[in-house]
Amino acid sequence: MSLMNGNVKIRIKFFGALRDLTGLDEFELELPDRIHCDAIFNCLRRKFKQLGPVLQHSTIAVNGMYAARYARLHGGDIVAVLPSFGAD
Amino acid sequence: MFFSKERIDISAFLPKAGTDADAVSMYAEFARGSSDGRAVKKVSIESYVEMAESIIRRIVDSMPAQWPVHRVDFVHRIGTAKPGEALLVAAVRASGRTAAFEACTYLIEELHRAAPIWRKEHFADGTSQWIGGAAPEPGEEPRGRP
Repeated sequence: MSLMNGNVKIRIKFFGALRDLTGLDEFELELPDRIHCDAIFNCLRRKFKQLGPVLQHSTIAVNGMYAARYARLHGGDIVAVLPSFGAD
Repeated sequence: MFFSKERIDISAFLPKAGTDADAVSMYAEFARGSSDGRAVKKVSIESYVEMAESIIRRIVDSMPAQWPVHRVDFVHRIGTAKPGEALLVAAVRASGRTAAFEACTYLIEELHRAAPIWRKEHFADGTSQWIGGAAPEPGEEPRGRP
């Protein structure tokens, strides 16, 4: 559902190192409707400058499915940011 | 449910007599006691459980079409484990050893490739490190038999 300004609310979930570095496991972002997943990375980089290196190696899942960076987001979507550290 | 906060009892996965299959392939991973020369005090295991459950279910459901698999038992620990405790156990019951080995390998490889699960090793010197985490292609579906 769009807000008065045309934006929508997207729920963001952090896991692992991302949660450690921010102290957040879940929060909401207000973004333009149909924005690309890629924009989430840019937004998070601005909001949490400490995440740079970890975000570089993270993927995104939208509503429980891995998403391409060019996929578009809609109001109410749940976006999980999933860091990857490779196999041990 | 493929995840458990409780300590995993590996003996519960040991093959039992049955007539539906002649081979069982078992695989287990354990919390290690040292990593890169540093003593590990404990391991935290974290997952995006709802998503990982769905991915593991798809992996398991895709197995019988590829091998004569009769039963798959799988559990992954979440929470905190001490060194030496099991982090995951899989037991794949199939007709023939090749099918059992291949299907079990497929399950574990796909799990590590696609399921969002992380481990954090806490070292005795007070430091820690994250390991794991999947990096699949968008629109993730289990890969078929190689």
